Amino acid sequence: MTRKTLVIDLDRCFGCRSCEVACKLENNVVLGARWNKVIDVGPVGDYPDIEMYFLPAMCQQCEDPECVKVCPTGASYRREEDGIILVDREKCIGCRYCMMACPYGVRTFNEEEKVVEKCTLCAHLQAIGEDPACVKICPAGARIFGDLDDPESPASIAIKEAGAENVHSLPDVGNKPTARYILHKKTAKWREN
Amino acid sequence: MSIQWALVFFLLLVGWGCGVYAASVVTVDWMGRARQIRLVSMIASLILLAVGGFVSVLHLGRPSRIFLALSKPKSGIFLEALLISLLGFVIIIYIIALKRNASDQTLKIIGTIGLIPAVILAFAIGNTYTLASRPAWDTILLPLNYFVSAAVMGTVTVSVIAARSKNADKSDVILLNRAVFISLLLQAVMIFAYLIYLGAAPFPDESRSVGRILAGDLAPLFWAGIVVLGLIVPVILTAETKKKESEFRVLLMKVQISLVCILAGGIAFRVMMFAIGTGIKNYFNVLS
Repeated sequence: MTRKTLVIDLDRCFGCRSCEVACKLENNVVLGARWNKVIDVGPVGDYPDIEMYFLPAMCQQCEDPECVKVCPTGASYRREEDGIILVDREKCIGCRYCMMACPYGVRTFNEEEKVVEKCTLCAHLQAIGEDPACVKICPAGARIFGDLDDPESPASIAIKEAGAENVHSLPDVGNKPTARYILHKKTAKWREN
Repeated sequence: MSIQWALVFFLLLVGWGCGVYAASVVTVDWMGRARQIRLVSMIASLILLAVGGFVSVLHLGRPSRIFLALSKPKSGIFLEALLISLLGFVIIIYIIALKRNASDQTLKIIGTIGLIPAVILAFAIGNTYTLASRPAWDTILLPLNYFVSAAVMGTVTVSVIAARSKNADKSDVILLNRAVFISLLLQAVMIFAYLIYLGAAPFPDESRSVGRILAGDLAPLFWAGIVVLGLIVPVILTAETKKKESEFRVLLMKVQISLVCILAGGIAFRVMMFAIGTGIKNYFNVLS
């Protein structure tokens, strides 16, 4: 099995939002929509014990995705060969049920074309052997792309090196998100909310 | 979450249609009362289902591709479309049989068959929203509330139809009002149970808290719309009537006001559902 996903090193991310811009440009994301967004978590605490981190949020490429289950047309699907969740724009009827089913609110509605869109992990770039645009642009090298089921992939290596206690994921309500976030306590405490 | 008006009216109209159908079949075909309401109540039910189904299409970004929704039988939308079609089909058969002077037994059989999709549909429209991503919706109490709401709307509508029909029998209206009264009490219990669930739901957040409903920005909608209009006023108006004392026109007025209040309460509940239907996370602020 293959589970291609993003591992994001929050110790490295400094909130420049280059990934947001690269994503919009590469995928021609319409005004008002986004496929990737950097969230400020914090600051929390009292001076001088203050901490914060930046959380890039995007499709978590779930193993058991609710968005795929509820889609009435099969427009939302999980690609068998690499586990990436995609939307077939020709099949999408714009019911937005998948947006309701996503636990993270990381799908967006294209008001011009009346279809739901989301991060594709730049599937078109992968097809020519390149990494997603956000990974390529990140000046801190915080975004790591790879297959979780391949122990030699950069993503798997980054997770192994960070140690299990420093690897986090967004709340799982049975959807099994594959995206991982690396955050050491020396940087900040991981906050579920 | 922003109010999805097309879905608010879809939930209201389809539930209402199911309720009218079921209340009519039980009253007329099972209990043998108010036979004169058959045609009107069946036509009303058919219209409500048709308009409800049409309204749901307005929610789609690409309504012209609606038939693609029939390509995945496991989806909730497919089930709803199937059940609406089945129930509509049975209603048409019932009306044809009625027009051809079919026997009571035949009509009872047809009507009872239609109860199956009607009962499932009244539950299914709410069940579609039981999503793990929306903690306020992820409970069986939500579809149960819609189920009971369909019963309330259906019985009060059939009561109005019976009261306004030619050869109206006061005892039929009183009987139906008793059914409305009992279903309203059941509705009150279901709403109370739903509030208790919300208080203990996972991933607590102010946007879907009991405090927001009882004392926050949703309090006017809850107290005025759901409690006063949707429950208290119709409960008072449909409470036990002493047969000798009550004039028929007073009874008619009471049941008509009850219908309007119950529909207002039904809209208020559905609006509240969308208002508190926030996701566990909403990073892009979509459908917010």
